[in-house]
Amino acid sequence: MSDEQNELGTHHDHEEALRQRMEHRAARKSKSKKHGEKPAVLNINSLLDIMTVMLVFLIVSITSDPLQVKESAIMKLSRSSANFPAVYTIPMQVNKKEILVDGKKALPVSCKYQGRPCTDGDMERQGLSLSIDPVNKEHGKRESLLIVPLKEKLSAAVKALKDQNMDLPEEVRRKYLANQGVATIICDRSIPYRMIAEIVYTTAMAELHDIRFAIVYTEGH
Amino acid sequence: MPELSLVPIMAIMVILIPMLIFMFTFHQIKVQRVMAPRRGTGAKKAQEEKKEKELNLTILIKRDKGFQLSWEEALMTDTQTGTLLPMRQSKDEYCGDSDNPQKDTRAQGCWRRAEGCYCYDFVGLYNELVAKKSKFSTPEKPEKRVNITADLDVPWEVVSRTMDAATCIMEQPSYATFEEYIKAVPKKGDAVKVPGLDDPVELCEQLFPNVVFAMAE
Repeated sequence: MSDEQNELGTHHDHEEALRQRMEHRAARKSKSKKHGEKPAVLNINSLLDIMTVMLVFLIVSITSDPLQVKESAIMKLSRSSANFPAVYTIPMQVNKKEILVDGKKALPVSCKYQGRPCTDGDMERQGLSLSIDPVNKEHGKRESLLIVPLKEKLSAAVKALKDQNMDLPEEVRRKYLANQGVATIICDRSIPYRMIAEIVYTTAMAELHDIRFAIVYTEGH
Repeated sequence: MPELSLVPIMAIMVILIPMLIFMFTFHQIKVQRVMAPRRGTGAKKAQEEKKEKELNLTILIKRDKGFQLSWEEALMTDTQTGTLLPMRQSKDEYCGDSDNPQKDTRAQGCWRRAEGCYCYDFVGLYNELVAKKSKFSTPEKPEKRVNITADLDVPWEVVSRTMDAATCIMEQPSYATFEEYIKAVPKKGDAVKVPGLDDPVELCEQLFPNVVFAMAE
């Protein structure tokens, strides 16, 4: 009996406390309305700080990367344990569709799969036959190592780079002078050796004697 | 004074950050250095004969066959005609997932054949090159150059891996299995100053650092 009374008493106390709390909240609400207070808003300052730091980090990382290679079905770099850093040079991209010098198309790459021209769906298949069309080679000869449109584009890029370096202040120019004869070839890993040799030979003919191939660095093999 | 509303700035950030993340490359891009190709001619060979005999180490990569190693005839013994390192049968996992060809898990230089998974013998090549270096290179006459040539349809990934085996000394002078070699890390060499970069760079200890691409004529 006394247990039941105790339980009933506790229940009453609890209800009383709840009622008092609600009254207190209502009083506070009406008081704030009288004083013209604004409703509480979410403070986004800290979130904005985080985003600013992220933004700066991303901008610095992207702009400090001299090659900015994005892999795709037509462009997959070789994996290697070589750890020689890339520097700002004339970039040449050789993918399964075309050769680009400094981001501009120099010539197309001839791609065949089982004797027919490649479609976009074939690009990730093994057994593609990639080559340079003889019309783009010296005297139109298949056996020639010199790719004429590539040499023209590279020579123009070398000249533009030299002119650009001339306009730089002396100290900065000295820094870039050492890399004036460097070419970086960003090459898809399925490009055949014949094409590589032709590209390297043509690059050397365009006064770029220090040839570097971009790779994705991997620890071990 | 009314507080400045940061919501529009936040909206710009929300657009900019995913855009930059998309542009960001999560890989570390480095480079492999090579020298321009040399075309072998008789006249050049006659000129070279007058000079002191160099090792003139040449690696020929044969499509679907393996590596053929050759060096200066005068430095070979009577029975030697070069070394052939055929492709080795390896674990199936190195040839990627045959059920899911879109998933790129194939090790470079490994291809599936009817008999199983075959890889170029980079381990054997590395062991041979280290042995040649220790036999023929001296502090007075250091051997630094290696010529690499290949069948015309050998893909770049095999040439690139061959250059790895030829240019850097690993933690051990030789490896027994492909598994051990895959896990091996190049020995760190001295920090060197690279033109165009402010800070010195720690490169690997060099085996044959001067790689020359050669074309047979």
